[in-house]
Amino acid sequence: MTRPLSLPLWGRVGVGGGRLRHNSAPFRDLHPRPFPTRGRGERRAGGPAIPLILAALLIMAGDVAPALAHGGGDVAGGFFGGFLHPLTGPDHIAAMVAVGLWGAVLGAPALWLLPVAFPLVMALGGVLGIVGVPLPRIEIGIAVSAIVLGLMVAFMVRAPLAIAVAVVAVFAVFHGYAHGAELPPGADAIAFSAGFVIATGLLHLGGVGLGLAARRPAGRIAVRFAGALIAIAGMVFLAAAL
Amino acid sequence: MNPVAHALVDGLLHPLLAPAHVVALAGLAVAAGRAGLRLATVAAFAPGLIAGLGALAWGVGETPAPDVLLAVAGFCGILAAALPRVPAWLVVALAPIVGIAIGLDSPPEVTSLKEAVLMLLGTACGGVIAFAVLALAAFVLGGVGRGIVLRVAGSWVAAIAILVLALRWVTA
Repeated sequence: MTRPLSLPLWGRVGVGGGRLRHNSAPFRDLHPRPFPTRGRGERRAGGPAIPLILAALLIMAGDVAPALAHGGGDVAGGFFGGFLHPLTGPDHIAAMVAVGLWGAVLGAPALWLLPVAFPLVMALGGVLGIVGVPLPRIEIGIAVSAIVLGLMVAFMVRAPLAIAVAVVAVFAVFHGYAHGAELPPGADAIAFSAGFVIATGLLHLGGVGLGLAARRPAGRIAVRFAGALIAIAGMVFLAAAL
Repeated sequence: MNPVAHALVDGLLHPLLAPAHVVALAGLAVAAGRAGLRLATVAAFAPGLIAGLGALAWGVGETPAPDVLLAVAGFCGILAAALPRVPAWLVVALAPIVGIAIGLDSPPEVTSLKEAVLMLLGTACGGVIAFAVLALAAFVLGGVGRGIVLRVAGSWVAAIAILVLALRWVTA
């Protein structure tokens, strides 16, 4: 962490080794303005104030972010990198959606308990991956998760809550391990983790949303069909992993 | 924007631009929402933040504040996700810890005393405002679906904090 201004503050005016922020006076004019500005009198009277305030905050945020002492990592890039991480792996997508679908099939409290349990256990799997604890055949575990969870949805298996949570938790370890092993070291690790945890959670919620269609007869068939598709996709992933 | 105003805005936005601070504020707010607290945590958080910033200005050097923030965020997330009812006293007790840690982890990166003071003032105001907004939002969401939204959010916060803590310890 950089600390250009030594503390305590008194008696040290102007310290910092002459370090300049990218947006300090000599460099400020090098940055083009992100939005074209209106001339005086061009602004509509009574125009929308909130969008203007938000735009101003965004401009200021973009302007100040690199000057902060936590710099060193690309926060936005880290977040989107993490967010896209589960979304670019079809095996992850299939299993995550299946978790939500199965939760919806089981109904409350599994409806929300599975999406709550999964990230917590996934984090523990992620710790194993970060620490480097050897866990063999991760890709096979992930593929099997898609097969098992897909079959649970396809056959509308109404497992007891404890069994359902245990099954999901075991598979969460494999998914977490895969994410954890690829977590980039550096200042944007929080943003990356936030991105992939949120993306994973949204996939669960997407599955729950789709699964709620099972309350109607036609939706029930669609949900079972989706489960079967996920199971078949899991078999393809398994064949590729073997 | 002139450098002085810039320092103030830097400070105001600082708690929202440092990922560890956002995670900690979100975790504390989610736990407060699950405990049914509105502003009690804000009242406990604000003096902590001011104390942390004061200690920073006094000359406290490097501290494990980021680790403390992540640890408290993870704990708050687990509390919010796992417990049927989060104890209010526990959340109120955690609030000043988060405030102090955010204060200690907000060194001003400026080149003059005036800018540094303004940035610290901005950080104090920005931190309290950001947490008050998050706490109120969490209080409102606490009534949605019997707290399920906050439970899910708590599990997300806990997962993020646990992963990053592990990464920090390994890379350290």
